[in-house]
Amino acid sequence: MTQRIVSLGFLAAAVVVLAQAFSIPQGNGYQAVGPRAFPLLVGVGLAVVSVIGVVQAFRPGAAPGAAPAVVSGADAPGEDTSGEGASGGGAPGEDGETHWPSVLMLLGALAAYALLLVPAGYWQATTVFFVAVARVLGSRRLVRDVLAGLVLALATYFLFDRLLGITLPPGLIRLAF
Amino acid sequence: MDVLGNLLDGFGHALSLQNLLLAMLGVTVGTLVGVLPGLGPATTIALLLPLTFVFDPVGAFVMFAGIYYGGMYGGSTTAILLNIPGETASIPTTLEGYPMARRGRAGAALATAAIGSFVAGTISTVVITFLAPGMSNIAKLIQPAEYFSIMVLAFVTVTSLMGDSIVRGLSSLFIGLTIGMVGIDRMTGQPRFAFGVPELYEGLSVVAVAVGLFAVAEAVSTAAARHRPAQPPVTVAGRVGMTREDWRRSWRPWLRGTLFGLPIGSLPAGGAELPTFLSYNVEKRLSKHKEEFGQGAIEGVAGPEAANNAAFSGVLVPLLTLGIPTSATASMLLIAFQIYNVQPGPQLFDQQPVLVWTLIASLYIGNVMLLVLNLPLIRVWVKLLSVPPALLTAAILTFATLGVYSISQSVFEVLIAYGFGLLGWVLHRAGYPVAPLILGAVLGPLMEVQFRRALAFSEGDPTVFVTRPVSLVILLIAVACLVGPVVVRRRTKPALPAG
Repeated sequence: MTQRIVSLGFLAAAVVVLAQAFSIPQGNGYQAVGPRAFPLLVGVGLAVVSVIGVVQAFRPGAAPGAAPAVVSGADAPGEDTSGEGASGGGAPGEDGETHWPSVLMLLGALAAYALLLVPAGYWQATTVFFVAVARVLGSRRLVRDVLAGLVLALATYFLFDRLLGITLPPGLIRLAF
Repeated sequence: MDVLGNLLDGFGHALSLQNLLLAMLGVTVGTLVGVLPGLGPATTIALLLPLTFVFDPVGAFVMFAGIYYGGMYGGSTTAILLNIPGETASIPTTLEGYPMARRGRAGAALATAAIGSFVAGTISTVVITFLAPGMSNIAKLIQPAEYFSIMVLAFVTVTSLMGDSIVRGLSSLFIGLTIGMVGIDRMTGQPRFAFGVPELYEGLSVVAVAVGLFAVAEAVSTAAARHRPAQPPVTVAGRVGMTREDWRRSWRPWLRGTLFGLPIGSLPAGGAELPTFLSYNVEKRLSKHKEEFGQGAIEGVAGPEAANNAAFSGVLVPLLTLGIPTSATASMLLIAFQIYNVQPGPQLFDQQPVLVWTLIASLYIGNVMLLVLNLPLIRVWVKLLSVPPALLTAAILTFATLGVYSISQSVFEVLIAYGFGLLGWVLHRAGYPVAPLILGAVLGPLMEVQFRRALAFSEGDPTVFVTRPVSLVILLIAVACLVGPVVVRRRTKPALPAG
């Protein structure tokens, strides 16, 4: 299911890229090739592969990615978003249910963090954010989380702002030292 | 100056007290972050990018050499103890390393990985030392049309080797190329793909994109899977070391692994996946203990780990001499170079000799430090595996945000990183690899420059890419790499179980 939606998303992206590419002016006559040629090339490429992607995703009985021959027999490793992506057998996200409330709450925490970072101050917002994320992910030990968050926030604040000289938002309560 | 003189010069810089400390710090922090479950070397570098910010370029790259090796070694530790590969290239290590650990042989698996990496890394660094300057001279002769074709080849091979669907890989790649075009065109001042948003005129920051795709996506993925029980790490019983028998069975796989990893990694088409899988299959075939494969055969850890490390070193050849990264991790290094306004490529060895040679000298030092630091400290690293996932995720997000904000001083870019985190997670769920995306975003702008130069030389004639013989040959190889796997897969399909 995810794959079908995402394949349609790529098709939509291809349309946007092509439309935007065509809206770029041709450039003046002095140049052999203007700012438009490469975007057009990329747009056409994206359109071709995304159409094939949609066809593959909607083909009856389309499985979410056959396991590559080399690693068949390898256990599909749990969640591995990092590194070089989704190889290693099957489509990794599909094998378990997605806990949507956690995902949405995490995204909410991220949005709030970004918006509060400057007005509230770096270490203040970070402490609150740290505790919130830990809670979203199922931690119920509030005291430990607050302590860990505060230590991490203050340590990074002093390391970056005071020692490395990279200014971070001081926020409401300015630390004296 | 000759190579040895240059190298000695590099050691002179790298062995200063400050740089030695930076190398040590890099290896330690790299291992520390790399050993965290799910964080591969690319993510490690993305998260640690801001730390190097305050140092002069030479110091920063000395530290990067340490982070590079440390992050990779940390990745193999999680592969062995948790069955979680930090990246595709570590998958073979999980096949034998994890069973070894479960049979109480974690110490031997970790040791053969560490010593094998040291052997492979050192041999590869020696070869790179002599190969890279020569390659750089050849690279100077490359014309724009050929340059463009080499980049096409790099894209195609990296995309078709990674992940299981070329179509999905290419889709990611083209999105990455589009991301690279956002902003004002450097040659004409024409805004492109900016949608009238002033913040986008300077382009999408690749740092924000990379941190989002790697680190933030990992956190979202952990949140999505929170109800699934986590796998407890295997404990390291006994001493970390190898018996005489282990040594006897490891040294040939180390050398063979190096032989696979170094040449393939050094090509502007390689990456680290192919050599590690090749090495695994060859060791399985050659082993006198075939029955042990799948149950924890030490050859299956020794070979791929050496191949991985050799390929990682080899990848530096196309990166430094051509400016072409062939893995997600190499893309992160290129981003780091760009932050310091250093453009790797044919001119790098002439323009930045101190930087290059200090970096190469640091590779030797980083390798030694890794061995000296990691074998005794392995038990400390293993403790990190028991940090609760909730706190770990909170910390990852904190560092990701700190990294993007401290580089850009912009909340907008932090939001971009979060957005790409969500995108990365969605793509991963749907089976789209993200490495081609970051590769496209980093390399796209350079590719366009060569594309336009080639067309300027040919006075706008687009057939220039196929009428110049060298360019044509490279493009034909690229087509073969694109079509080949599809044909092979079609032919072998009946043999594979459906889905």
